[in-house]
Amino acid sequence: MSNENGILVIAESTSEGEFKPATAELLTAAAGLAKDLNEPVSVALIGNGVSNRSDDAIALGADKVYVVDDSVFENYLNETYTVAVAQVAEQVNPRIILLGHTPNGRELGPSVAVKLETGIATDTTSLDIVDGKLEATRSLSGGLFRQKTGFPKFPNIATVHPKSFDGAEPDSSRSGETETVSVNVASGDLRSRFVSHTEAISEGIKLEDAKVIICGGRGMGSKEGFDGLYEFTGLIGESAVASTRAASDSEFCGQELMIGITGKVVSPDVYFAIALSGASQHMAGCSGSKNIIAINKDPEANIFKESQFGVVGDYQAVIPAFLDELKQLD
Amino acid sequence: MRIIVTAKQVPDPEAPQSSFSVDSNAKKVVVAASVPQAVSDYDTYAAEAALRIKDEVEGTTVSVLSLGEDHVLDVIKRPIAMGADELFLVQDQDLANGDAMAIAHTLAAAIKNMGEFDLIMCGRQSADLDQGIVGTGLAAILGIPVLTSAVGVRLKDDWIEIDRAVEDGIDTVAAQLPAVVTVSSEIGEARYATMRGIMAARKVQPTIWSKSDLTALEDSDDFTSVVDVFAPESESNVEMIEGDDAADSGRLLAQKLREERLI
Ligand SMILES: Cc1cc2nc3c(=O)[nH]c(=O)nc-3n(C[C@H](O)[C@H](O)[C@H](O)COP(=O)(O)OP(=O)(O)OC[C@H]3O[C@@H](n4cnc5c(N)ncnc54)[C@H](O)[C@@H]3O)c2cc1C
Ligand SMILES: Nc1ncnc2c1ncn2[C@@H]1O[C@H](COP(=O)(O)O)[C@@H](O)[C@H]1O
Repeated sequence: MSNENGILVIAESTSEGEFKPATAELLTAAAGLAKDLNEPVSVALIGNGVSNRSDDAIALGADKVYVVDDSVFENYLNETYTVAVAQVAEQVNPRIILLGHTPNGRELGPSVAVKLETGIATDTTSLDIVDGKLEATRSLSGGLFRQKTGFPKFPNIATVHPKSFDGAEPDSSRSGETETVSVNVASGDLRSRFVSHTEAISEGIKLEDAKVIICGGRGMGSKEGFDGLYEFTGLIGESAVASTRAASDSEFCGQELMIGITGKVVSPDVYFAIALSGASQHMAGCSGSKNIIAINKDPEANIFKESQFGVVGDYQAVIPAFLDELKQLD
Repeated sequence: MRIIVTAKQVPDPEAPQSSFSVDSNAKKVVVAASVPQAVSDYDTYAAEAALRIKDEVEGTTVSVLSLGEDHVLDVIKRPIAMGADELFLVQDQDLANGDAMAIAHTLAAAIKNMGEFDLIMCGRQSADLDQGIVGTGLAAILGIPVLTSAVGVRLKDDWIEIDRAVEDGIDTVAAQLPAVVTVSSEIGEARYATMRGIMAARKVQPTIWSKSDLTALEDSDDFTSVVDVFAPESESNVEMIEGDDAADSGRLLAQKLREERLI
């Protein structure tokens, strides 16, 4: 193929019918690349009953929206979405395709790359244009290092690490075009199927939305010790408790609280890192926090290198005094 | 039922950070000789998931496949010591840390050499490269469905059903066998090797192939190139809060954070 043109963003929607934060972030990234290339930004909007959201995509920065709207796309499924994205891509012939490094995006990206016989860089944190091609920076060795990936073939595909870009703000004065693409997926031929979705029962504020996160590590020692962290949430507004993989694996709490390369990616204003060492695989999920505050009994712990404020000491002595003082100050 | 588990040998990813550095000329990560080799983390969970099916379904064979150079037998036999049955090693230097698609093509060709199978289980991403591409690539090359990042796996007749963590909960999806499933660590603790398992693993002779033994292997292009490898800039500017004792430090920390209007 030649005459590659522009950037194609694969949008993702929540079950409430809004774009996921990742989509607004991708549109910021795409706008920067489009400016360098002087080429347009397209959005693939795939789902069931999504046609009416084309204007929202344009407001966020799309010059052209390709809508694939069919009941077969009600739920994300690798097999069906790969076909849809590949078909839109064949129509657009984009230079670059961007997806979120979300649970679905990171599954879809490589399948699309194989289908389009091109390369992909996953979990990228910054994107540049060099000689009309993408150079994508991604992490290596669990977050310790960075690798800049180049692409010998078009389209250049990347999945983008959450929160690497600020989300685009909607501008309703923007104008753009919409085109409907009909994708033929015969549901009888499918070799996979969506079975069900189970909504997480969220107690209190969601980790992704919390302004303050209190993260406990293996050094909390026990479930009882870990449960003490919930006292923070009673004193600090918009806060939530999180864990390291070691804490979750030790069954101090559920796996859904895990932050890091395996778990969630967050970037709160304040991240309390308590009795955790600051392994790169953990930091990959929280290094975007504005302020990290470390409490650790080991003065050599790596977490201090990543923090704004640090206290060396046993959390069992530091935290009760900290919380008491906080109550006094109120 | 035959399950193939792909397992990559990597330098222990939880070794101290100071043992990893970058050779910017060679554009790669260099690891201190003191760092032991390990089976890539999520691959041990893939082995665990496969062995749980073996525990349930009589007559299940679990075959382990690894591609790389300088395999350490005691390390790469870990899934065997956990309970898997056979080991296939493809030894190739060029590919050891190469392009994901080239790795997927080589593994796919090896799988064709291995014969019939029902299910392939991979780690969700390799602990050194963290790409999350090879499992999906393998499925596409073999022309079979793929389900990724399983946190739960169930066999339902000739379908495999998995749970995967999504932003607001869990999605359950299923694929007809043969299929590829990639596995995440939330699946639950990978079993330890038993003494008996270790003894049995000693007796297992791996089947060793080089690339030229893989008749199904066609030349594949590289789909990505490494432009640069570097360490991210990190400047530590931590302000340590030091009181008379730990409790005093805690009080001072509260005062400090209030002063800075952080909480
Ligand atoms: C492929 C892969 C993926 C991974 N993904 C993730 C991930 O997503 N998220 C994640 O978190 N990890 C992940 N890990 C694991 C990661 O490498 C670390 O092992 C893990 O983060 C360590 O957790 P921790 O800091 O709680 O425990 P440790 O490293 O054991 O640290 C405990 C800390 O607590 C301190 N401490 C102990 N007692 C006290 C006390 N009483 N008071 C104060 N401090 C105390 C110690 O000094 C120590 O620094 C992954 C690993 C691999 C290989
Ligand atoms: N050299 C290899 N040998 C065996 N399996 C591999 C190899 N490289 C990757 N894999 C499998 O593919 C998964 C994903 O790897 P990656 O795409 O590199 O993140 C790993 O968890 C392994 O199960």
